[in-house]
Amino acid sequence: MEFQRVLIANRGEIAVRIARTLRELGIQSVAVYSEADRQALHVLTADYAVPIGPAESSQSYLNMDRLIQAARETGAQAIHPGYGFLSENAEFARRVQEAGLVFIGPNPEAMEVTGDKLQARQRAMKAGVPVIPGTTEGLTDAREALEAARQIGFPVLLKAAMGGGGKGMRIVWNEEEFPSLFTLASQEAEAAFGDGRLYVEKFLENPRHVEIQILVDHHGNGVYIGERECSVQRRHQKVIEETPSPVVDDRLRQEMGEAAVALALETGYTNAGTVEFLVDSDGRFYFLEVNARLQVEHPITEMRFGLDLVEQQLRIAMGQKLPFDQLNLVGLGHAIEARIYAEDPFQNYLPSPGIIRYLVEPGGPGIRVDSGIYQGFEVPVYYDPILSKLIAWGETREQALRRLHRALEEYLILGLQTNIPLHLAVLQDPRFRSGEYDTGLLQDFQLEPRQDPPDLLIGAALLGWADRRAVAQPLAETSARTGRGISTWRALYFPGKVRGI
Amino acid sequence: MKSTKVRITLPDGPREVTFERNHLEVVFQDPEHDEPVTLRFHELQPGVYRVTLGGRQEIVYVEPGTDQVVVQTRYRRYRIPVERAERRGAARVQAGEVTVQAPMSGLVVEILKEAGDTVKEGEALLILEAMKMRSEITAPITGILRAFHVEPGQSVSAGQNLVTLRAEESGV
Repeated sequence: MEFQRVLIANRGEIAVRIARTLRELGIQSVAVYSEADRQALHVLTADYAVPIGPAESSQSYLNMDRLIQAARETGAQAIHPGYGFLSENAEFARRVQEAGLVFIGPNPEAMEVTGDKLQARQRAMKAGVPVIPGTTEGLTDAREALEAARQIGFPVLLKAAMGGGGKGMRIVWNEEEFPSLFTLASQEAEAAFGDGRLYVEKFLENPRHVEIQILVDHHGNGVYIGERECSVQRRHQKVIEETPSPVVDDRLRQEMGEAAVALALETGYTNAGTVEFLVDSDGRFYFLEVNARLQVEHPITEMRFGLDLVEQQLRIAMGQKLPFDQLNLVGLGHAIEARIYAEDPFQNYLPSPGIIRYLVEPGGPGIRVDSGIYQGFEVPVYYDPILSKLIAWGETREQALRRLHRALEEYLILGLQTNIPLHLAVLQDPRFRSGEYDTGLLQDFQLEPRQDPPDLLIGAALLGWADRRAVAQPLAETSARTGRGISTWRALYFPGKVRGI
Repeated sequence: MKSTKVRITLPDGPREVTFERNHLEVVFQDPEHDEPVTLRFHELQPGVYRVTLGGRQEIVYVEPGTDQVVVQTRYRRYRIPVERAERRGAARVQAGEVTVQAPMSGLVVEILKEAGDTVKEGEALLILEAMKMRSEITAPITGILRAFHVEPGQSVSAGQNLVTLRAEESGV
């Protein structure tokens, strides 16, 4: 089967990125958009664009019926879900199939297995993939649980069997505090979920977060395409990713890679996927979860291996065999990605939506920008704060870091605050530079602001203050053009309390 | 050209400067400098300027305002309060009342207090959601809530007034 037209059920930078590969392959792209995204870049760059509903994701980008209808209306043969939204929703994948369309991703059966944490863990054990040591069932007896904890080895993590959201969860560092903490956590779980049973699991303090990219075709062929080091995280959100991982050697890479492919074959997984592992300070790895989709950070793998993962996804979905086997996959150099978010690192990472007033994107040797913005675009408040991804490749890690730093300095986004200052600070951090870092890197990370010249700030502030009346009108008109119910700028320029001039 | 004396508050503290402005040229005298500083702004886009300072080029974005001006360098976005120096006294009299403004555009998810409530500095007043993240808007001072200017479900813009408080110890 050959696709002539593919609908992209997503928005922002990833929708733009998928459309690029479609264009290269001579396949037409169909964008979808909510009312808030009428002027979004992914809409402007696709061959067709279909409105799918109001700004709220639940009524647009998560509206399965509307998306399938849009695919039918436009004559698309397949749907690419991108990441987030419906990308890991087995029901959506099934309904796409039932509508006679191709879902570009894993089959729904495999998505159901990998999407269920307990099932995925059991399948991983069956495939011989190491999992975090722990009890396989919930316990209520403190003595029995202590015995299990001894076998696992301290510190351990107590988790409510029916739990979530941290309720009934405790880290226990030694035997002495175990009985009282167990009782406490069990009571908490009982109160919260009506079930006091607890799991006992090994607690890994600040592990590294390393994931393996896999591709599996419909002919039983599976390969792993190196790893991605994703330990630079803030509140479980990845910030910087790099490949290869500074702590993964050839032996560990092969072990993790083979484990990931074994798990995929065990679960009947197809298409692209990522198997996430935690790696402890002794270099032991444990299965965490499967991300049954294209990852945000997939470009670093593409840069290092010289391939296009979206193209491979499309070819697999069209029924083709993988064009390479494991031995052909040789990585070259080092790649690193910085996620550019609209958030303010100087104000506790508050979201910072707004209008892009000025934009100069970096380029030059070894630089790739996957972006969803343009100058004049108003970044909506309804969706993820990711604006773009800046990816650098170098022959060595040092060169890749140098290039990324240079490109971050080059990147000029005015009108809203981004997290570029955080990236610059991480690149200067001795732990990051040495490669000796883990998921604890950004805990209590002190961002020391760089000093801008005071005379520049004074002069610019005076110019703006002197213009306080003259500029208000034209800018208010600009906002009227965006067609939103509320004018951001009117509120800004005419605050409730206007003083006499 | 008429010179104006203003009080301007940078991140490291307030200072008073005298300045003159002629089109895109600003000349100001900071008491810490012997010589006045002249900055010539070249407009690249509405509100976006190239300016040379000490021989080095900078690009800034300026969002005019009556109480505060947004100045963004390539590194960081600042909200810089500017007021006429001689009005300082007058402004201080009203200083018993503080109006909290939305730090970002978003949706008012929940209002946690009522007008008339007494709140402590740092206490959460309402919850604002933007980009799938919820943030608490907290009381900047200890005092009495005079009025909420928004209601749950309402979209607000950055800088929009949310709630007004009166300082508790205010003798006004």
